[in-house]
Amino acid sequence: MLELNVIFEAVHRWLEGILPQGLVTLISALGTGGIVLAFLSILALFLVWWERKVSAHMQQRLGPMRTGWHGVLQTIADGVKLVQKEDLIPSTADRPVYFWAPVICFVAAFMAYLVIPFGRGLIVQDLNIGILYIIAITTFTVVSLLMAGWGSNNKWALLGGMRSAAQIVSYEVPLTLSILGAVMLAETLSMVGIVQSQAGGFWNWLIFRQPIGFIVYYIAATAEANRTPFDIPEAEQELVAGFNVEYSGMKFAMFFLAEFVNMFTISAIAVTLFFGGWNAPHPIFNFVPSWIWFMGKSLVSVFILMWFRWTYPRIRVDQLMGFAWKFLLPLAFLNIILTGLGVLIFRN
Amino acid sequence: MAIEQLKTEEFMVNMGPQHPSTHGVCKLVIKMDGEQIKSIQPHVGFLHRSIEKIAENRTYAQFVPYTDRIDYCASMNANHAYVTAVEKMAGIQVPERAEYLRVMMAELNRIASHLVWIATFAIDLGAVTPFLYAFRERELILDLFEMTCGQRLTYNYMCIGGVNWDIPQGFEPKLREFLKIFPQKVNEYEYLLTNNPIFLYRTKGIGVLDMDTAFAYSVSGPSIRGSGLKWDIRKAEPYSIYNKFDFDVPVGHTGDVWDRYKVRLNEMRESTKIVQQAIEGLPGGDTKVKVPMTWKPPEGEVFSRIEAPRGEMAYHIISDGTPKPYRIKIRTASYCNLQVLPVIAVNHLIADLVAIFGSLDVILPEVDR
Amino acid sequence: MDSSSLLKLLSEEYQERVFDGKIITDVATVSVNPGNWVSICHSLRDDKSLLLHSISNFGAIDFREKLGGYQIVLTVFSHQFNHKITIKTLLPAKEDDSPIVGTISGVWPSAEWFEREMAELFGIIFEGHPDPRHLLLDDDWDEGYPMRRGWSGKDFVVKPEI
Repeated sequence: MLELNVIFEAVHRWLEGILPQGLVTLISALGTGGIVLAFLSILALFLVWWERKVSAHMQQRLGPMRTGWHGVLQTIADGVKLVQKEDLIPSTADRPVYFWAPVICFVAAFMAYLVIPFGRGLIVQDLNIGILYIIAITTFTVVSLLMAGWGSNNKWALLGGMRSAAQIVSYEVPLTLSILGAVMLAETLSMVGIVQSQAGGFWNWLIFRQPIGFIVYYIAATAEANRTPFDIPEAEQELVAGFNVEYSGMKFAMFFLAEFVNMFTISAIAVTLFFGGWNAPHPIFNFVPSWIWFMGKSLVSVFILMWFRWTYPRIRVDQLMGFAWKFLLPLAFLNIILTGLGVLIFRN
Repeated sequence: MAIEQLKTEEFMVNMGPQHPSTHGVCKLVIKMDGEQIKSIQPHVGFLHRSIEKIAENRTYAQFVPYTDRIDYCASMNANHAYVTAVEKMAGIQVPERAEYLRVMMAELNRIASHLVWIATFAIDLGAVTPFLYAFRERELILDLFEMTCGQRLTYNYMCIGGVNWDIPQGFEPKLREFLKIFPQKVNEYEYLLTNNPIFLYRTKGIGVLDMDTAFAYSVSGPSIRGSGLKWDIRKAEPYSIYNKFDFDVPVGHTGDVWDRYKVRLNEMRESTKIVQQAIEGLPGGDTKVKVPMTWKPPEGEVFSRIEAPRGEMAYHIISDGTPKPYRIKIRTASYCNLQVLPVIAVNHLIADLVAIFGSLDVILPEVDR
Repeated sequence: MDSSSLLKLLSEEYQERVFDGKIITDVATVSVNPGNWVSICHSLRDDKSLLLHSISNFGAIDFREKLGGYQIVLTVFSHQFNHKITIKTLLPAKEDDSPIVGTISGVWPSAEWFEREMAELFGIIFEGHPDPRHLLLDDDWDEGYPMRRGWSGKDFVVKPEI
């Protein structure tokens, strides 16, 4: 049994024994924040490397090979390069807006992890409105992208920012509605509660009772994270790089890392809501620590997102909007009605 | 501010010269209303090297390497256009083996050029993976060219009176192997793109080039065949020995981006057929007739055109009886095909402009010369 | 239609405007006066028996020494009938003159770029051209007309005779 929460609880008890209560609260708050931040930074570095390797192997290349074993240190080298770069601000940029955009993007991406249950008992704060909180906080990304587009004072960037605003606002609606079905079945908004409601084996996972909800969620979430085929805000071939065309160095790195963190976020939510979170697919596998199940499922989902990216062409902006409003939204409503009927029939 | 006082206005965007989707250095000044294109003004000439002026200053044989640089994606075809024009003017009979080799190389180069096109077109639409698939096969063709003439991009393979080198040992088995695997590879590209719903969304009904516009703007090559006109100079005015080969001219129906894509894909299959027939029927004998270094053609002029991968490539050569041409006028396909872009891309979205520009297969050195 | 019957048809039907008809490497070639240039292009395009609706080539030649002017050569063809004809006209010019001729960009739109190119490289003025900017050269190019024979620019070196 390698449950990580055992370690954290032991540390917490030990601190309680030697320090006053107020200080323990402060230290544990800072400590968990630091651990999550460190974990996500390393995860983002890993995901960047992984994406490069996945794309390379899909395209019959090798990808980075020179830095470390199969190029694992490549993103660290890239990171060092980006940090060393001169911090360029276009002379016509709206400086405060330009400066704060990547910070907001970065913070919004990381804030979501306050309520993500990484394993049994492994959650920073189990809010009773957890899923609602995630939807609220991830929507901040759109503000940052719009700020980046506007603040750069570049027409391509502005087009990218406008596109992202339109896209994320449109896809927010089906995304929220698709989650609603799962929430209705779990009868709670708390992330831990949703996971616990799916315990006992894979037949209890909500994917089998919410297939439509899952499909709508996954498509809408891909669009939320600006991944191909919905990566129109940055569309290299059309808008050069969209909202981040004027960014370089550390500010660009923040956008870049936020993108990968967002990708993991949507995978983590998908796993939590539809694939039983940290639960093993069958009780006989319970000897495997819960956080391994969670990470494994999430990484498979991340891999699928990468697979999308390297297979599909990019959809056009008007088709994207049409898809959200004419297809996903009715489907999400249909899902809610069907779920409601199901609950009404089977619960009573 | 009251809502009535808010106003919208059109704005100008410079697309290029450094833009990933202009395939070289072309600048499009676009007037846009939101995402919609209201007008396009192409600016070319960034690669102008005045090849026509250089021609007046070189002997006929010395000019052959310059023709490579007109269209770096299809140098063999550019060579072919020039040497056939000069030979037509001087009445030089080329040995049959040389003609076969020319056709073989030109068709291989047509495949290579279309592969570059498919690769970059897929990237224009945001699909990155087909790029490397297409380049994998292009590599095989380039290896064949490298075996033959030592070059991978600008071949300088054909010369006045024949070809510079015979094919080396080991060329034939490698070519046969390529011909065996290549049709499957084309199916693979089709599998990746042709029926992909997003690809269809992005290409069907986009950038429709109707026949009258195509005629008025002298569009040629796969771009006009996509509109449904069965027009191929290899069939219409058979030059070299194209009348000996059995091949089809693929055409589209509606003239949209998808049709132009499909025509190019099928053209690769047809070119494979031609290469197959050429290697089967390759006769023995000389590969060139002797043409002296300071060769003087008779006084006169010639107009000759061929079907290059992008369309019609024509040479108008005026000779005054000296070893140097008096004037060479080169007509290239991209020059006319690019002119039609502002006409067919107007009122589309910016993403469509990228797709349409890609589908016309414009190569900028050919426009600028 | 083959070149000889095409030439015969041209010389008969447009006999008051064309002259000097001959076949140059199997292309029917006729000459016209500069004054008739635009009108003959119009008539040829609209001629239902010819259907010449695409330009194959359009260029100028500096013949100031030999013929005393610039010759512009236009090759047009028909997809349907698979025939092509070449029309030439000589624009008289001496030394640094810039000859004037009417534009045919209203007849075949694709002539627009060909004419812009000729205007900047040869200094031929196309009257009524819708967009008389430079095409290939810089907008602030001031070294004359490079395609004229005997032109010398800053970095232009003529190769010695062989």
